[in-house]
Amino acid sequence: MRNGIFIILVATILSSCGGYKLVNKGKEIEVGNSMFTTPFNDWNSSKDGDVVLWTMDGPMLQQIIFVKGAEDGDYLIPVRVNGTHTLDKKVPKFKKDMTSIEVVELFESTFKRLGAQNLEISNVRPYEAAKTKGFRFEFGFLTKDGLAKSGSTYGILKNKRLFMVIYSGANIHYYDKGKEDFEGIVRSLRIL
Amino acid sequence: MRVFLKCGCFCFAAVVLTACQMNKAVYERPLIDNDIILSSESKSSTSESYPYSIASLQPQQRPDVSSLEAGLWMSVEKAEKKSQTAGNRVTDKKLNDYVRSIVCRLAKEYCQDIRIYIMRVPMFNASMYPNGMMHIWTGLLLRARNEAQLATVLGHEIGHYLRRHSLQRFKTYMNTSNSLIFAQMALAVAGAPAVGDIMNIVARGSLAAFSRDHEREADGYGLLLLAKGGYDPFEASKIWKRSIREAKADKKYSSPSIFNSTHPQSEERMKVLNDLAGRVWTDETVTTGLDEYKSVILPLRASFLRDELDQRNFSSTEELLEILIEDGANLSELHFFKGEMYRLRRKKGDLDKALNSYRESLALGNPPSVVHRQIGLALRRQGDAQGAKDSLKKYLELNPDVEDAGVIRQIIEESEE
Repeated sequence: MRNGIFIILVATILSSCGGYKLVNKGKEIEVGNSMFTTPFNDWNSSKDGDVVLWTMDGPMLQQIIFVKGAEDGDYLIPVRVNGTHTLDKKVPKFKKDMTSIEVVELFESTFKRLGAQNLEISNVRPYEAAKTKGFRFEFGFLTKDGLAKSGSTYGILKNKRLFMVIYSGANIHYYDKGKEDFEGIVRSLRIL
Repeated sequence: MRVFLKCGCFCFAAVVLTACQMNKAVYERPLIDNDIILSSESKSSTSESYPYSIASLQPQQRPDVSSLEAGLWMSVEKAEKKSQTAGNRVTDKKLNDYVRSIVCRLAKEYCQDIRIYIMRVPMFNASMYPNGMMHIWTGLLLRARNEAQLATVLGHEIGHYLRRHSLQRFKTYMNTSNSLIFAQMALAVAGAPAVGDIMNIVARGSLAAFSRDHEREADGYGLLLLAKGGYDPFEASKIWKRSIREAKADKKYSSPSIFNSTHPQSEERMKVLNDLAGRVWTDETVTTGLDEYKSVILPLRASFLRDELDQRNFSSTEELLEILIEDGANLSELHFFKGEMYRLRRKKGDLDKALNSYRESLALGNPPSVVHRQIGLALRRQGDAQGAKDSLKKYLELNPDVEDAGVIRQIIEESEE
């Protein structure tokens, strides 16, 4: 994770990060680091370093970010300064002593640094998936240009590592389009 | 956008007293011309020190469509469309109405020419654009102590507008740029599709660099409008004093913000504005507008402080919190955020400082509802499992219906396993 750096903000959370590979529906896939899931629909996957992004219609419209076992001192999502290669050192890092409450705080700070405006987090609650007690929350924000987006997140703290699946999409059409599949992806998670 | 025609203020650097003497006349000029202060010298003398002779805008004045200024306005109008829908625009009506009322109190007959956009940016800044678009950042609202201090900065920005400083800079740029760029601009002014080139030139930041004399003159206007608006003129220098304190606490003092070397040194403006305030004539009973300011800003302050913490400039935030604590409004909230700052900073000894601040917040009464939760998190990190559990239980006891109750119970259960 420390050396896996990418992610550029272009008026939304993530933009394209290289070539895409098709993720076939109905088949279990290892997202990485022993994190498995099974999507109901076809998705397009892009990978750079340790961060994996899935989208159906383009990351500006909807996306799933997989955080595959961040360790102590890792960024939740590495953020670059104004689309350059320089890491934004003001982004806080994951610490192994964090609770779910502090991970939510980490998420909030990271997304704000990525450019999310008026970020509101709601319904922070326990949630069990991958046979592990985790937590969930919803969020909403505006892009710099004022596009309204919503999101839903599932997180697990396991063996002092952080696993998260972060879904977000434009309120108009695209969030709803991928939401049901996101729920299926969360329910089918396996972390070995 | 940030580099776009900025006249936002406030550079932080070492004091140069001799320069202060030489430049004082530039600050004085608007006040002398409007008979707000008496000149210590003859008017002809001050006129010679005036930086340029461009005419001020008149109320409701629009540039002639064939003019260079019209091209400048057109390019900025495009930017203004983005401001209208920007995700970080603060739409709170009460706040917008309040700030607008201050702008109108200062700008008077120019009031309808100025459109304000309050932007959620946790930095000390406001900026004025040549077509009357004014940006005000929430970091300024957090840092001003009262209405008069906010009016100082707004008056400064209005000064830039009235004196058409953007146009002056634009002309200066054109005079020094190469012929190709000149041609592009000429085409743009003529309506040819070279407007994008103007945008590029503007975005390059050349126009952002209001000269120091422009800033000094705008400071003079700020003081003039402050006095004519019935505000205490001594508040003008006080906001600079606060900014100097905060800046000096910043470990990146040499490059503290977007305000760069185009601005007069804060020490200079603090001293000159204080001197000039003592010479201002006003028949009205002046006000600082402290109560009005608090009634509007305090309900929003927690969100401004949260944004401030997300900047993770902990040294300057620590000093800012000290300044706000000295001001004395809602101390419980301020000590809570001081605790938050230490908890997030994670330097050696910070957890103890965080706990002390949280407890101070509690002792002052009416703390934020999450204070016991934050104490629990800090104690847990210190390894005090029992203390953490007790605090988290206290949080749930006092706030039985909180949304995060489930995960708090989960944390308590995990600590018992």
